[in-house]
Amino acid sequence: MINRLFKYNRFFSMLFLLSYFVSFMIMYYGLDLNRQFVRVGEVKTESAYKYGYTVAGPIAEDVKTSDDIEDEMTIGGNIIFRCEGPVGEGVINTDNIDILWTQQEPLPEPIKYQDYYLNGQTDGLAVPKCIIGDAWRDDTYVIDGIRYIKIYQIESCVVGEYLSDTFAGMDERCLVYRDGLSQEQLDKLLFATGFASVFYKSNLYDGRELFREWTYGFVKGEEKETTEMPSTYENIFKTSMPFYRKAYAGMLILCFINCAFLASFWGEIHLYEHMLKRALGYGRRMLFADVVSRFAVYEVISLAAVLAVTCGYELLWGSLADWCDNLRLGFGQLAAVLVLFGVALSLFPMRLVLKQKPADVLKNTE
Amino acid sequence: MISIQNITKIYNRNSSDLPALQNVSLEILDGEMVAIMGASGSGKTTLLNIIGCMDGWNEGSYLFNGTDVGKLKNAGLDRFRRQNFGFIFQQFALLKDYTVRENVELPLRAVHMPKKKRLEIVTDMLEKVGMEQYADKIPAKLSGGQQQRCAIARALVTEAPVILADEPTGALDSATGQEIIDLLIRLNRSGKTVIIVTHDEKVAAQASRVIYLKDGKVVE
Repeated sequence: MINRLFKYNRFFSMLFLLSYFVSFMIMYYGLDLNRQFVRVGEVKTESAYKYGYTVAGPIAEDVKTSDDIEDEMTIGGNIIFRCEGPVGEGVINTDNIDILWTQQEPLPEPIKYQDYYLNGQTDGLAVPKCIIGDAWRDDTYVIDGIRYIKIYQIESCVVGEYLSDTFAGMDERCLVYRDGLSQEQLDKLLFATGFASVFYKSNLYDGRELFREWTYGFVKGEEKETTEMPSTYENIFKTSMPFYRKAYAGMLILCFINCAFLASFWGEIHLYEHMLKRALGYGRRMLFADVVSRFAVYEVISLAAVLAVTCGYELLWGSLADWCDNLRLGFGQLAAVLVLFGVALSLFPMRLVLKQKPADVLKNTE
Repeated sequence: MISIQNITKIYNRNSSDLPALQNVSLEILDGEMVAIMGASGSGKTTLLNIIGCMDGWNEGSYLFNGTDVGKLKNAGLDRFRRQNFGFIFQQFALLKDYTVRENVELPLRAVHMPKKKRLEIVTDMLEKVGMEQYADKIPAKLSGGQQQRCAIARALVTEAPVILADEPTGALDSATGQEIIDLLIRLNRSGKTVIIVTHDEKVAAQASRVIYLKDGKVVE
């Protein structure tokens, strides 16, 4: 079946198919298909990964790519970017991100969680400040060992964890959530957040406004020992180069591998076939058209196969929104690069064919 | 009529000149069955290549029915070759991943013949050579004689007036070889000009004329 399709012998047919598989794997990992898109300004409470953020309030700049990440804001190995200005859409092609966002008032100097423990501070700085509105202690309750604080309004907040006012014991954790959320939404908020920086205030202490900022991480379903150092600092946040760059790199590798095989065994196997055709009266134009059209068919089939596998993966395990983004980001361009490059390389074996005299086929038959 | 006058063909191998043909002159009339005989290296295959417009020459002239073949180039030469010559090779020269039908129709694809008409001609030709029931087989499934019949069918599909056969029985046993020669004789009687290169005197004896080559020269 494969031989009839490709008119190659079995060995080279399998090598040819293997080259596409290898190219796909290179492209797959090169494209880093397991990436996460986060839209600044939208809540991504469900994602393929642990992280989702609520961003409310003014956001200045749309962060398009990870190139816009401000390195100087790296804290404890995390890469953090700041958004300021009107709420808008931006697509960030990173895997894990922490988000700081501005408030109406200038940000105070952040106090690192790590520093807090190191310094052993137990004064009012331990009490978190909630800027999202008032929350009273009487409005807290515990679900499965997690204390929730009911709040009435969210202005600028990320859903994360909040340490109770019994900070010294660190035996309670609270989750801030917006009033009116359903249990389902609450669950999503509970488990869809990861690393977060939280600004908020509360009036738990007689109206004294204290604040704190920290970066705290937790995973779905797990209860963290609050005495532990946050895993944030142990994680390595990685950035990804823009999708289209990876895609181009992957597809070029695909071209090289496939065309190398094609040029190689065209020279060995198809050379004979084309010389025979010349002996039988095929003109050079016909031969050239035969080579190019056959190559184009193979590349279209391969491209379709790669496209089907990658999109199938995205649909099954990824996000449909991401899948659409990926296609929008230039699959058409990549296909054009692939075909044009392949056609160009197919000229090499074609030159080899045309240099031979038809009479040489007689030598090959002896 | 094929008219070759003082044809000289020199191969350059390892910076030295090897004359394959030296001042070869001959004429072959329409409808003849001619055998070209000679030892290995005598130049008979080279002569066949030149007659079939598959190779060039260094000196001399070649006229085919009044057409100066030496003046034809590239596309013209390819067209001339497919219009006037059908080739039969010693080792059959069938594409092993193509079926018998696909192999036979190759010359017809070169002239962009529609598929329906191609199939009709190929089927008819396979019947003439007794291979119609093997149309969908690949060459590996056929015997030597069957493959050569397939090759003959391919040589005939374009209705070229001249059949060039290079050692058509060289890879066959004597019985099968004789079947092939009988087939070629029938083709010759139907009006085809048949030129056979062979070193087998029994084969040559069945031709109407034998041209002997030795060291690239025609021996009288």
